[in-house]
Amino acid sequence: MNKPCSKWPTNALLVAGLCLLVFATRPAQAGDSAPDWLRQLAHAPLGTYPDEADGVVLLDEQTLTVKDNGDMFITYRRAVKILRPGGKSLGLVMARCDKDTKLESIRAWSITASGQEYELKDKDAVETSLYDEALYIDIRLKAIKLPAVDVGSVVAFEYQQRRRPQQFTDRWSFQEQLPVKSARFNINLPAGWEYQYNFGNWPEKKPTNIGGNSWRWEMNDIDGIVEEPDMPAAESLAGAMVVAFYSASQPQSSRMSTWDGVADWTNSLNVGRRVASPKMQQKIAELTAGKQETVSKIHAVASYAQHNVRYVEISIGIGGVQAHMAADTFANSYGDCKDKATLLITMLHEVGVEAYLALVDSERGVVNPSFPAWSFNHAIVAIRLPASVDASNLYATVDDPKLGKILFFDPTSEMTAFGMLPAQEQNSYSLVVTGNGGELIKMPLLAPPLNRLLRVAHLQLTPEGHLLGEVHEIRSGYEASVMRARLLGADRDKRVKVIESFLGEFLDRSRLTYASIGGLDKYDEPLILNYKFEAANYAKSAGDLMLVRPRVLGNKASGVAEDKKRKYPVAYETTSLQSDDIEIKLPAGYQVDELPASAKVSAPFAEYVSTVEAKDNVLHYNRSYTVKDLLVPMDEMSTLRTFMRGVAADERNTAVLKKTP
Amino acid sequence: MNKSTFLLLSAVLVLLLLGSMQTAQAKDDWLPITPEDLALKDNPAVPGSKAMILYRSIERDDATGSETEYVRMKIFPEEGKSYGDVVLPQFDRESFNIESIHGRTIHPDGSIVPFDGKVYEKIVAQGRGFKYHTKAFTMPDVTPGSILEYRYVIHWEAYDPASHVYYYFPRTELDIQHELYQRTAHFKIHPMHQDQLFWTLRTLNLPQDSKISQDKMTDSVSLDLTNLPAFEKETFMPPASELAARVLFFYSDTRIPAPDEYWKDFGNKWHGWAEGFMDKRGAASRDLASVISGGDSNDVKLHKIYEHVQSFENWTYEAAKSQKEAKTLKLRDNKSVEDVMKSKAGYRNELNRTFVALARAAGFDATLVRVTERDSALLHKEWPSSSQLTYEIALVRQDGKSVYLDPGSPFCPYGVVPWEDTGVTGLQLDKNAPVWVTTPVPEASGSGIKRFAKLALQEDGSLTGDVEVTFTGQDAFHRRLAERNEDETGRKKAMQELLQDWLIQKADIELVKVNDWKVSTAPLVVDYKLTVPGYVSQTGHRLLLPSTLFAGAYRNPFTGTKRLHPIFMEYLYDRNDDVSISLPTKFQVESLPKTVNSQNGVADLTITYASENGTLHMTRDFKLKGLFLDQKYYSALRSYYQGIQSETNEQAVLKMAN
Repeated sequence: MNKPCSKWPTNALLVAGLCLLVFATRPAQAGDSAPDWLRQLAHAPLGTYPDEADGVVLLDEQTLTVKDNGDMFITYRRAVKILRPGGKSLGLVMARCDKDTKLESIRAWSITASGQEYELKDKDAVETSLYDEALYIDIRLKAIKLPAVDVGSVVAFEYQQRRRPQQFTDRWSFQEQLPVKSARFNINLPAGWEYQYNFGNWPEKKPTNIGGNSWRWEMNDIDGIVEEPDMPAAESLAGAMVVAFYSASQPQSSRMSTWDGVADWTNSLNVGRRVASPKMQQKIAELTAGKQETVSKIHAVASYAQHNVRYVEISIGIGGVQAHMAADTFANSYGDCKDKATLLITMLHEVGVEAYLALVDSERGVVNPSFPAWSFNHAIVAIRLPASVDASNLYATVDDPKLGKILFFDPTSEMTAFGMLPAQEQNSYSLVVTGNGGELIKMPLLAPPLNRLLRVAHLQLTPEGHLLGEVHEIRSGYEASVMRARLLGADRDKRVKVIESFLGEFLDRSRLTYASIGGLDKYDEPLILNYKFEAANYAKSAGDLMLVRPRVLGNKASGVAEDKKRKYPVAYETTSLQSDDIEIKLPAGYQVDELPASAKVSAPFAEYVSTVEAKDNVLHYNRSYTVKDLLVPMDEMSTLRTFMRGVAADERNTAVLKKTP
Repeated sequence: MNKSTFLLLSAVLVLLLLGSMQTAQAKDDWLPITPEDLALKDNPAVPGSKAMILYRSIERDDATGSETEYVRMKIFPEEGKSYGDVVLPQFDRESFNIESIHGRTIHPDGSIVPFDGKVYEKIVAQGRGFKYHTKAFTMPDVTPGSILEYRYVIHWEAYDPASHVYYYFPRTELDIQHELYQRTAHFKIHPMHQDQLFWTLRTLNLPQDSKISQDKMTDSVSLDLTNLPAFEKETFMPPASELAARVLFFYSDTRIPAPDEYWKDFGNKWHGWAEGFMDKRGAASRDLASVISGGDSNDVKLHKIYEHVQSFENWTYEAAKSQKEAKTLKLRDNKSVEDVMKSKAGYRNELNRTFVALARAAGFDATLVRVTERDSALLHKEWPSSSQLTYEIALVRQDGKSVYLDPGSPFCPYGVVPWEDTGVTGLQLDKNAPVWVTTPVPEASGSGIKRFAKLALQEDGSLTGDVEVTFTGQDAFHRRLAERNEDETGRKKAMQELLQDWLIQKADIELVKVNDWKVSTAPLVVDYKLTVPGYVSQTGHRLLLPSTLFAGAYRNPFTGTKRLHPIFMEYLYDRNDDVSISLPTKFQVESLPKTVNSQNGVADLTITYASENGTLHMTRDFKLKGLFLDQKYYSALRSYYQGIQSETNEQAVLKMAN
C-alpha cells in the first residue's frame, strides 16, 4: 500500500542512478532565466542553521484548487539553498505521478552562487518507477537533474498536477529533514465548499483568508528532523496538517475529515472484493475439517493466508488502496498485504467469523489518533472473536467497547506466530474498517516474556585457556522472528554461517563443531538452536593469572545515549526478556582468585541483573535483561546513559583465576 | 469493397491466423518433464538450496538480432517461492523489445497451471532519447516442489557492420552463470554474418567438461554445460569478471589477427594518437618556464612538474557537467596538451599526457603506460580487445630507475600510483609496439597508518588524552580522495567516526585539527582529544585494562570457514600503534601480556608491552606482506587473523599499590 506523498527519503540508489542521466539535459538556450519569485528568495538574507544541515528550504508552497465539479489540481513550488556538499543531491528534483495524478507541467531552475541561471522543462525530465521492490507499481517519479548545483546554489522547481479524483483531503507535511524557512499551504475552494483541518505534532495554526473562499496556512523557521540512531520514525515526530474539504454538491467529499470517513472510503473500495469462489470454499472445508473450536478454524485459515499466499506487490492507481478480488488472490496464490488481508477476511466469513480490514503503518507512532488522515502503508486483519472464545493465549487481542474481543493478525508477516503481533504493530494504532465507519484501536504491547531469549551454556575451560562446550538457545516472539528471518533467508547449507558469524562477534578464535535448528518453520512454536564450539585462547594468561570473561556471548549494551547532541527519544523495537545462564567448568590447577561484583541496574524502561558465582570449581554467570517500555524520552537520556554504562561494565567484567600452589 | 482490397485483407487475415497459430504452437512447445524431476526434493549437488535450474537455454542470433531464453527451475522450500517473481533484463525500448513471454507452473503431481497473467512493463528510466524498460510477471500458484518454466525472446535491430568503422573490436558476451545452480545449460550463438566480417571466441573459467561445438554450415557455436554452480561473491576476491565462467565473441572487419599482431597494430595506433596529443613542444616549454628554474635538481624539477599538473582541475573526479552547463561555461574538449595547459583542466589520461609532455620538455625520458585496473579486471593479452586497457599512467626513467607516476589522480602522492594500477601488466607507449611492462607492488612501508596516543587513566576508570593519526601512501591518498567533496563538517564527522570504529568502546571524540586535506606532498595528520568512559573493569582489588586501544582496527576480515575464491588484497601496508597510558598513583602493574614477535608469508606482527614510572607503554606493528593467496591457504590465513584479533583482547592487570 502506498501513502499519497512523503517528504522522507525514498530510494537513495534510485536517486544516484538518475544522476547518471545528467547528459540528458538539453543544450543552453538563450533566455534561460529564473522567475522573479525565485530571484527574490535567492537574495533574501538567511538565518542560522545547524552545521549538519545540507540545505535550507527557502520556500515550500502547495496550492490546492478545487473546481465546482470536484476536480482538484495542485500547484507545488519549492526552492532550496544548498549549504553543504551533501546537499548537491537536492539538485535532482522529483515529483510523483500515476495514471490518476498526471503531471500537467514541471519546470525547474538553478541559480549558482555567482548568479548564473539555468532553466529546465518537462522535456528535460526523466521518468522512473517509484521503487524496485514491488513487482509492479504504476507510481512514477518524474525527475529533473539541475545543472551547476554546488554549495551556495539555489535549486527550485514548480509543477502542476491533477489530484486523485474523489479523494477530498490533503496532507501538508511542513516539517522535514531540512530546516524550512517558509512553508505555505493554500486552498482555493469554490463558493459553498467548507473545510476542516487538524494538526499533528504541532500546535494548531489558524488560516488566513486570501480572498473569496481561499485560505492560507503559513509557517516560518521550522527546524529540520535529522535522523539519529534508534529514534522513533521521523514521520511520527514531524509536524503536519491534514485538511479535508466538502460540499453538499459532492456528497462523498465529506468522508475524509474523520476516522469514520477514512474507513468508509476504504470500505467502499474493498467491500466488493470479498467474494468466495467454489475452489476457495473447498479449500476452507479441507482446512477446517474435523475442527470443532472456532479458534482452531481461525488458526487454520489464518495460517493458510499467511504461509500459502506469496507476497507480491502489484498496484495500479487506486489499486494501491484497493485489493484484488479475493478469488483471484486465492487462485494465483499471491498478493500484497491488502490482498492477503482481504482473502483472509473472505475465508473467515465462510467459516462464520466476522473480520475486518485493519489499516496500520509499518512504523510505530505514524498513525496519530488526534490526526484523522490517510496515514497507512499496510493492511492487516482484525478478527472478531466470539465472546465464548478463550483468548488468554491470543496475546494480540484487545477488548473494544464497540466491537468486543478483537484479535489482530498480520497475514503478511510470515514469521509471526498466530496470536502474536509483529513488533512495529504493537502499541500503535489501527483503523479497523467495519463497514459502518471505523474504529481506531490501539493494538496491544506484548509483555516482555513473550519475546524471549534464553541462552543456556555448558562450557569448559582448558588449562591453555581454550573454551569449549555447548549452547542451547530458546527463542520466542520477536526474538524468534528475527533469527528465523536470518536463517530462512539463507540456503540451508549457509545457515551455519549465521551461527558462526554470531560466535565470531564474541569469540575471536571460535570454531563451530555442531549446530542444529529446531522449529525453524514451525512459526507458532519456539525456535531452538543447539550448537557446540571451541574457542582457542579465550582466557588470557597474565603471569600466573588467567583472565576469563564470564559473559561469553551476547551483547546488550548500547552507546546510543552517549551522543550529547541527541535531540530525539530512543525507541526500542520491542519489549523483551533475555536471559543467559552460563556455566564454565574451570581447569584443574586453577582456582578463582577474584570475581567481579554482581550487577543490578534498573530504569523505568528496562532492568538488568547479573550474578557471578564460583562453586566446586565451576563459574556460574547468570543475567537477565528486560525491556519493559518502548520509548525512552529525552528527559530520561541520562538515566539510559547510566543504565547502559552499567550493562557495558558488566559485559566487560573479568574473573581472575590463579594457579593453585 | 473492391477485389484488390478484399485480397489484401484476406492476405492480412491469413498472416494473422498463421501468426496466432505459430504463437499457440510456441506457447505449448515445452520440453518433456521426467517423473524424477517432478519428484525431486532437493538439489543433490547443493543440498538445502532454495531452488535450482534444471535446464536453461539461451540462443542468440547476432545476425537477425534476437535472443531466446528458456528457463526451467525447481522450487524446493517455501523460501524458494520468491523465484516465482520474474523480472526480465532491462532493455532500451527504442531499439529492443521483449516479447513472446510464456510460462507455466507444474506441481509435483504433474498438474499444470499455465501462466496467463499480465506481463507488466516497468519504466527503469525514460527521457529524451532513451527508454529503459523492463518486463516483469509472476508465476501462478507456486508451491514448494513446483517446477517453473518460462521463456521469452529479446529482439533488437541487427547491427550492420558494413555501416561502421571500427577503432576497436565490438564484442558479444554470453551470460553463462546465474544466481542459481544450473544442472544443464545450453547456449548457442549465431555470430553476425557479413562479407569481410570475422569473429573469434575466447572462453574463461568454463568447467572442464564443457562442450563447445561449431556448426560450419550455419556458422554457429554451441556450448553445453552441466552442473554449473551459482556464482558467489566474497570479500577480498579477484574481480568477479575474472572468476565467472564467460564466453566472449570478438568481431573484426579485417581478419582476426594473432595476439602479437593485434597488439602491435593497436600499439602503433595508440602511439600515433597519444604522441599527436602530446606533440606541443613549444607550448610545453612555455608552460614549463613558469614551473621550474634552472637551478633545480632533476628530482626537484620532476616534483614541481608533478605538483603543477596535479593542481589542474580534474574532470574525472568531478560531477559530470551537462551539455547546458558546459556550453554556458564555454567548456571545450581538450584536443592536445596545449589545451590542457591553457584551461588548466582535463581528464585523468589528459593530465598524465600533459605531465609526460612537460617532463619530456624538461629533458626527462618519460612515456605512458596503459593499464588494466585490477579492481575491475585483469589483462588478457590473448583477447583482441584494447578496451581492456582503461587508464594511462606516466613512466619516467630517472637515474636508471623506472618511476611510475599518476598526477592525473588527485591527492596521489609523488611516487605512488593507485593500488589498482600496481602489480599489473601494461602496454608502454613505444613506437616499436608492443612493449609490455609490469608495474611494481610497493612495499608495506610505502603506505601506512600510524596511531600515536598519549593518555592518562583517571581514578573513575576513564581514559583521557590525545591521539595523533598519520596516514601515508595509499592510505593518505584514498582518505583524501574519499573526503574530497566533503566540507569541514563532513570531514570532521568522517574522521571522528573512523577513530570510533577503531576503538572497542564508545568514546567522546573531539577532532582538534587536520594538517592539510588538499595536498599530496605531505602525510595526512589528524589530531584528536579522546575520553573513553569506563575503559577499565574492576574485579575485586584489581583493575583490568584492555591492552589494545585500537582493537577495532584489527578485526578479522575473514569470518567464514569456507572459501571459494583466491584472496586478493588491495595493497601492502603498515599499521603502527604507539600508546602510552599514565596510571593513577594508587595503582601499580601486576602483570602485562606477553610480547609477540611473529613473521610469516602474509605479515609481520610485533607487539610490545612495558611499564615504567607509572606509565604503560604498548606498541603494535603489523606489516602486510602478501597480496595474493590461493584459497587452499584460507584456513591458515583465517586462523592467523583470528589470532591477531584475539591478541587485542589481552589485558594488563593493575592492583592497588601498597
